[in-house]
Parts: sequence; structure tokens; C-alpha cells
Amino acid sequence: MSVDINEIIDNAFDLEGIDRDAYLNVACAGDTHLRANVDQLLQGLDQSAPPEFMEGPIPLPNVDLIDDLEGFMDFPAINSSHIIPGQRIDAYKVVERLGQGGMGEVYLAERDDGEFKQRVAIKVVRSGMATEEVYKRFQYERQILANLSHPHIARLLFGGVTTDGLPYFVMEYVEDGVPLTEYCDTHELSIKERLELFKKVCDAVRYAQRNLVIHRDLKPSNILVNKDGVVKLLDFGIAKLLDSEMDPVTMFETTQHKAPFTPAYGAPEQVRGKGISAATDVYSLGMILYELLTGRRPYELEPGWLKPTNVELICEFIPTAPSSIVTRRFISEETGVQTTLSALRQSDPIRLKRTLHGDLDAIVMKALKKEPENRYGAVGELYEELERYLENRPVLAQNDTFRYRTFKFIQRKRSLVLVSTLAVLALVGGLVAALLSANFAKQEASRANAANEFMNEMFVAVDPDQLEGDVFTLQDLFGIGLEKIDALDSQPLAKAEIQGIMANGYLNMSEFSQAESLYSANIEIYRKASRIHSREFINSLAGLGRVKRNLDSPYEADSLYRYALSLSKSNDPESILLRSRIYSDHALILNDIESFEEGEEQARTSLELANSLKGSDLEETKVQNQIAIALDRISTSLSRQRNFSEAEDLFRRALSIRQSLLGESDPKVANTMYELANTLSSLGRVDEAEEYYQQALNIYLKVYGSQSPGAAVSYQALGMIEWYHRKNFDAAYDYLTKSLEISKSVHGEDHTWTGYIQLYLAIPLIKEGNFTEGQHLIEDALAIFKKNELPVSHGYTLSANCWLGKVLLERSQYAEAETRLNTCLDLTKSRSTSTLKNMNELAQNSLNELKSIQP
Amino acid sequence: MEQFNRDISQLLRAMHEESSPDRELLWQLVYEELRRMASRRMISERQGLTLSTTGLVHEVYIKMMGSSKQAVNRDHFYALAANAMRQILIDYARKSNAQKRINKQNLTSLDEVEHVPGNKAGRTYQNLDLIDLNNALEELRELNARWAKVVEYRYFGGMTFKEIAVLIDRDQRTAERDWERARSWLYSRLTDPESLKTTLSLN
Repeated sequence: MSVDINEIIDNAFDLEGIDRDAYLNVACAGDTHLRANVDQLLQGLDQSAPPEFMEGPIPLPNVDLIDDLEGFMDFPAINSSHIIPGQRIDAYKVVERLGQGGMGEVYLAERDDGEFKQRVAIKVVRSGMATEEVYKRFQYERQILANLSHPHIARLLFGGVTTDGLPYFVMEYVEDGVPLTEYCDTHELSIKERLELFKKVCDAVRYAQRNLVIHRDLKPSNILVNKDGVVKLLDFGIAKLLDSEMDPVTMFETTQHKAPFTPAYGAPEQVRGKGISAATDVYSLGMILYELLTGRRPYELEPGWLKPTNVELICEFIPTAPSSIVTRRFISEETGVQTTLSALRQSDPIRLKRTLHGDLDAIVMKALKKEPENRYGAVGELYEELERYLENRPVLAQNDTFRYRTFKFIQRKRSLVLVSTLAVLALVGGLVAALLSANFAKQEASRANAANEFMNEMFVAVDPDQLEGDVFTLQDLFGIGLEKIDALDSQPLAKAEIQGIMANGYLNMSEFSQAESLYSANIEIYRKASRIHSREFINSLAGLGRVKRNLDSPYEADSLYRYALSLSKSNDPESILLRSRIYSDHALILNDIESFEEGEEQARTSLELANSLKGSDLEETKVQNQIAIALDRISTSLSRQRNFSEAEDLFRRALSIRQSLLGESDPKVANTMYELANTLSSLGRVDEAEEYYQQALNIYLKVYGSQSPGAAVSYQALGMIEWYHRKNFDAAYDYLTKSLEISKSVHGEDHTWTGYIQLYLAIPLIKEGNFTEGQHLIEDALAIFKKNELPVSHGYTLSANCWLGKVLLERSQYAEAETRLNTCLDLTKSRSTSTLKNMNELAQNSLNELKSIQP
Repeated sequence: MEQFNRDISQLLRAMHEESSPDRELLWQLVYEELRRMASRRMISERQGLTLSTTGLVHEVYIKMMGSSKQAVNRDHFYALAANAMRQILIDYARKSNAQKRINKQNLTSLDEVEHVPGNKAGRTYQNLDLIDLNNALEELRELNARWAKVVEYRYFGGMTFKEIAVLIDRDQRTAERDWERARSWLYSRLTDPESLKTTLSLN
């Protein structure tokens, strides 16, 4: 039996002196040869080598290897001279050398046959480089170019061999061509113009890729823009034909003293020598796009392309999002740099940040993903994405980040973390609280057990291995819950409790119809069990009220709250807290249906109740939280009654309570910020308002992803600011369409809020003179309002009618315009809110105009 | 990359079976890999070395193709390549030393180049003499063949520990530990060659 010497060394290594000796005596069992070897090996391990020893490059022997290799390489030795100006190549006379590539030199030459002057670029194999490999490579490039005919790719005209025996080919010359980035800066192109130009570059690369050519060396200096603003892609010197089994570049690389690509734009797989694909070009284009948008490269490399720091940057460093970099101050730079960079883009840092934020960030970051499979698969996809962006359609990359960041999706590996933090809080937390609650009685034990078992089963069902490769979400968890809930039929109260918890969960996830049916089922159970005075029942009524509000049935919600309040009589702290909450929820709905006075009254009652709980058995945070909610609601009511200064004061109090309770990025903090912003906006403090809207939006996006009611209203508000205060129609339109899209998907096509947002998208359009689309949107909005039985006197309906009157006037439909405007004038006469006052004014002015046209 | 791995194994197999193997195609396939191995080891600021890398790759290829040992699969191919690289480098080092000796003989008296025992103790890894290292490596091979292999793959072959682990059929941690120990041993051997000899003679 052979003894593994390494095993002996492993064991002996940690022993010392006599111990080691004793062990070795046994282990080597009298084998003196083995023992000698082990001793010799161990002896050499007494000191460890300095870390640099043998870790650096091999010191090459000082022999002239090149001499030795000449004979070996045995390539055709072509004795050639440099091309000099004035020399003729075919019908062309060389004017000057334009540049030098890896294997060739490029000359400007012109045809001088008297008649007309044609300028061309001639690429000639570099003298001294005329090896077989270079020949092959050269032919390869020629073959690639010959197959490409595209308006944005410099054309191949023809090729041949010089009198000195050097192969060459003649290409289209880009007159006064300047690199893409330089062109954009000298002409101070806006972001949109830059994108249009960049799209053309993508079109050219897409065309090449469709012809199975990967460029591999895309960089601004290979993308020239001529004096007429036409983009031309050049230098397919290291391009690769995908269907060719041979790729001479790999051979070529080694004969040149540099890597075949410029690392500043090279992809990780190029540095690592891994597989090149269409996505490699996508990365380089992502780098260029980043630079076009921000004026900076995602990272700056040091000279010496294979430096470990460079490889690390390319392969590991996640670039800062474009929108973040444009406002960043670099210590090494003077302060004006961001301003200069954004001025070159017809913008200022703040506006530029806003433009880049969202879609463009997502597009660039997707193109720059380290793993090729996470980028756009081919340049065609990037092209289509840019097209979508430029046409204001949703971009795919956003869905990507939506999936990454929102609804708290987590990678499979971390799914249990999610379950333990969120689900435990939302579900088990609720149960545990129930189990531990003071009124935990014996008769409740079986209910609690059943519920507990149910939870266990749910967790077993989400075995992460069964979700291999997939993401796991709360929805998944709840879906499993829904499937299993019927198992609790024999335990109706346990079932009702679970239904209530899950309904609340769905409500928090904006899944209103699921929440509605669960709440209804659970209310039915409690009713049947004659538990209508129980806190659970009242709680469910209030929950259903919230659902109804979100499902656009404010009056139903109003009744539910009144019913719940009539049932709530207990005076234990928990019940008081619940009552306080229902009062504040009721205040919310009253504000919705524009009963601001009663809203304020209910909110003040809520605050009073919450304040009475200070020092009670209840957790201080719960009480404080409810105080914040009540403050929030009072201020909302005040704000709607145009008492802005008191509203601001109370909002700020609510905000600071919430921030200290919930942290900076809780959606409830965002809600208060949003309301505070509304108030500030009404006070004319637009910049402050915008800041809060933006902050609120960021929180909503972070917590809920791109689709949430909060995001919809925030975008809407930001759009209104852009429109009313900044007079920036394009930005306003972008925000408002985004808001509308979200609202449609979150609330539905026929929701009042969707109609409301549609109305406020129509107004800028009308003011810009786009009456057709404006009228269309308003009529749609009015149909929605009608369907939802909004009274004619409601602010939304009034505004819509008023603006429709204005549009009809503009489109010369005077009779109908007059009817609508008169109705509006009547109904807005005695109204006090600023919007309605404005409407009144608008109606009056429009009618005056009408009379002047049609006396 | 997967494609490459499969292709190279297939071609290597074909070379044993067919009388006229498609060496050109194999060459194209292995070239990139050899170059990668070589360049990992040869990066240097000194001029001319990049070309030498190319030369080295060519030589490795010739040596491998001419060798009686034929690679049977991709891993074996790497092992042979690392071995070939070492042999070539050592050959050059010998040639270089011979050249130096000739030059010195012309310029200086014999005693100046005479070997002084112990004068290697103070020298640093930068002055590592490839021939000395190779001799020490051969001694190590006698004592522990696996460590020597790891050194060959790592130092001369420029392989990653992951690749080495496959070749020695151990896990990556073992490969790393082998490398660390072999490095220590070689360092002791090169800086203080007498001490190890003493141990040997005591036995």
C-alpha cells in the first residue's frame, strides 16, 4: 500500500519537536527513504518564501530569441519601402499618411485624372509586417468590408498589390471626419440629438452583425462624422466573421506589440480572452453612449492595458449611473466642470440629471453589464431600445431593473432572507401578536394552532430548491397561501384570520381585487359567527374601505368607515388605536370626495384619540405613527381648504415623526413628502416642492418598483411643475405620459385617477396647440368620470368640461363649446379652490373670446 | 469557450487516429490558448519580450507536435504545454549562460566568475536563475512529484489554481497549498542550499 507523502506532511506540519518526531516515526513506519524525503520537505517549509518569490514574470534569459526564431517562423520576407507622399498606388496619388493601425497604415490619396478629384483612403500592409498571418488578416478584413454596404459604414472600393508587393485596399474617405464624441461636443448637441446620431451608429453595427460581423474595436475614433453630419463607421481591422471557422485575429494579436482592441472601450470578455459575441460590441457601444451622455467614461484606465488594476476595472467595477455622475463633484476638478459638460449638451447639471435618470440610466447600465448574457444580446436590440426611448415607449431595460429592484424581488439564494424579514413581519408577526395578545383565551387555542400549522405548510411549500433559477416573491408566497387556505374550512375563525392577514398583504402590494375578495370572505365569516363587535371584524371593514378607495368606490368606502366607527365602542387602548386609524382613513376618503370640513373634523378626532394613548400600554412607536397619520390627514384637509401655512407646519411635524419612526425610505414617509410638496407648490415654493416630489418618487421607485400609485402621482406632479413653472413642455410630457401609463397598469384604464392624469396630460397638449390629441384625452377622461358617477360639480369633471370647451372653441365648434363653458362658469362661480378659480377664469375668458368671434 | 474545449479534445484525438491530422486547424485552435499561457508568464516591461512570447509559443507548439508524448485530451495538452515551456526556457537559459561565459572569458580572469558558496543567500527573487530553479525543481520532483507538477503548471504554464486542481485531481485549496509549500521549499533550497543537504546526509 502506498503512503501519501502529502498526507504525512499535512499532519506533521502543525506538530512541533517531539510530537512531530513521534508522529513521523509512526507514519513512516520504518521506511527510511520516505522518512528522509519527508524530513527534507518539512525542513524547507520552516520559513515561508517572500510573497513576491516566483510570483512575478519569468526572468527571460538574455538570449536574442528573435535571431533564433527568424529561421523558424519562415515567413515570406518581403523587402518593402515606406509609402511616401506623391507615390502612386493604382490611379491614386498618395497625399499624406492618416494613421497607423496594428498591421497597416492608412494614407489619404487622390485621383488626379484632371476631370474630377476623388479622395480616398488607402490601407496598406505595414512594411516589415508582411507576414503570412498579416496577409491572411488583411484579406479577411477586405472580405468583410466587401460584404458590407451600408450608408454608415465606410465603403470598400477595391484592392490590389503595390509594385513593392504590399497588399492594399482602397476605401471611402470621410471628408473632414471627426470622432463622434468630438463632433457632438463641438456642435453642442442635446441629449436627444446625440441619441439620434448614436442610433445611426447602432444601425451600422446592427447591419454588420446581421451580416455576421462583430466589429470588436468600436470607439469614438473609429466612428467619424463628416462635415455633413453623416456618421461613418471604420476600421474593421480586427473584426470577426461569426460563421468563419478561422479567426486570424488570434494569430495576429501575438505578432503585434499590443492588444488588438483599445481597452478603454473593450469588454470584460476581451480582456479575459473569453468568447467574443455580438454582445461584445454592445458593451463598447454602451461605453461610447455613456461618454456621449455624460462627457465622462465609466472608468479611466491607466496606460498598459493588461495592468491588473485595469483588468479589475473592466471586469469588476460597476460604473456609476450616468444620472449620478453628472452632478458629482470630483475633488480633483474645478467646480465648473459639470456645468460645462452639461452646457455642451444644452442643459444644466440638474436638468441633465433628470433627463438621464430612469430610462437612459437603465439602457446604459444594461449595455455595460459585465456578463455578456445580461446585456442586450445584439446591437439590434440596443437599437430598438433607443427607438423605444425616443418614441416615449417603455424601454425593456426598465423592466429589467423593475424586476431587479422592485416588489422586493430577491435572487433565489436570498429568498429565505426575504421570507424571514418580510413574511415573518407581515404574516408570522401578525400571528405571534395574536397568540401573545391579552385576550388570548383557551377557546382560541385551536384557532391559533390551525393558523400556525398553515403558516408552516406555506413555508415548506416555498422550498427554494423548487424555485431553481427563479425569483421568489411575496406574491409567490401568498399565491401558495391562497391555494392552501381551503384546507382551513373546518376552522372558520382561523381561516378568517389568515384571510385578513393576506388581504392586508395584497393591499400593501396594490393587488386590490385579491384583497377585496379576501376581505369580503373574511367579513362574511365574522358576520356568520356574530362577531361584528370584534376588533378583527372592524379592522376588516376598515381594510375593505381602503381597498374600495383604491378600487375607486369612495362612497362605498365612506359607508364602510361610518359602519366601522358605529361598531367601535370599546375603550381598551388597542380599540382606541384602531378607532383613531379609522377616523384618519375616513378623513382621507372625505378629502377625496371633497368634504374637506368633515375630513378635517375626522382627522382632528383621530389626532385626539391618538394623543390620548400616550403613556398607555401600547408601544410608543405605534402611537407616534398614528399621531403622524392624523397630522398628515389634518394637513391634507387644511391644504385643500387653502390654509396652506398651517398645513405646511403640520405636514412637517408629521414628516419628522415618520422619518424618525420609519427611517428615510419608507413609503409612508414618501406619502407625507408628497403631500407636503403639494402644499409647498400651492405656496408657490416650487423648487422646494420639486425636491420633495423627487424624494418621494425615489422612495416609491425603490420600494415598489416602477409601478405604484405613488410613482404615478409623483410623476404627475413633477410633470405639472415642468409645465407650469419651468415651461418645459418636453420634460412635462415625458413625466405625464409615464404617470398615465403607470396609472393605467396600477389602477386600470377606467379608474378616476387614470382619467385625472389623462386630463392633466391633455392640458399641456392643448396649450401647445395639439388640439386633436388633447380633445381625445379629455373626452376619454370625461367618459371615465361619467362611468364612475362623478358628479358634474366635482373638480375633475369641471376642469375636464372647461378645457373641453376651450378645445371646442379652438376647433370652431362654437355651439357645443358655449354650452360646456356656461355650465362650467355656473358651477365654478362660488368655488374657492385655486384650480376651480382658475377654471372659472378660463371659462370666462373662453366665453369672452367666443363672443368676440360669434357675437 | 466550451466549443473550443471540445474542439481541441476532438482534434487531439483525431491526431492519434488519422494518418494526416489537420495540424493547421489544431494550430489555430491551440494558438490562442498557448499564447494566453505564455503571456501570463511573460508580461514584462522589458523590450522585445512580447515578441519572445510569440516565439515561445511557436516553439512550444513545435516541441509538442514533435514529441513522442501526444496529448490525449485538453488537460493533458495543458500539462504538456507547461512542460514544453519550461524545457524551452531552460534551454535558452543554458544557451544564455554559455554565451555569458564566453563573453566573460574574453574580458576577465577565471577567478572572478568562480562560484562562491553562499553568495546566493543574499540575492533576491529578481535575480532568480532559471537553471538553479530548474535544478531545485528536479530535486523537489524526487521528493514530492505533485508539488513539482504544481510549480510547473503554475510558474511555467501560467495556469490558474482552478485549472491546476483539475490536473492534479485535487481541490483548488490543495493546489494552492501545494504551491505555497513548494514555493517555500524552493526558496529555502535556493537561498540556503547547504542546510537541506545536511539533513540528507544526517540520515
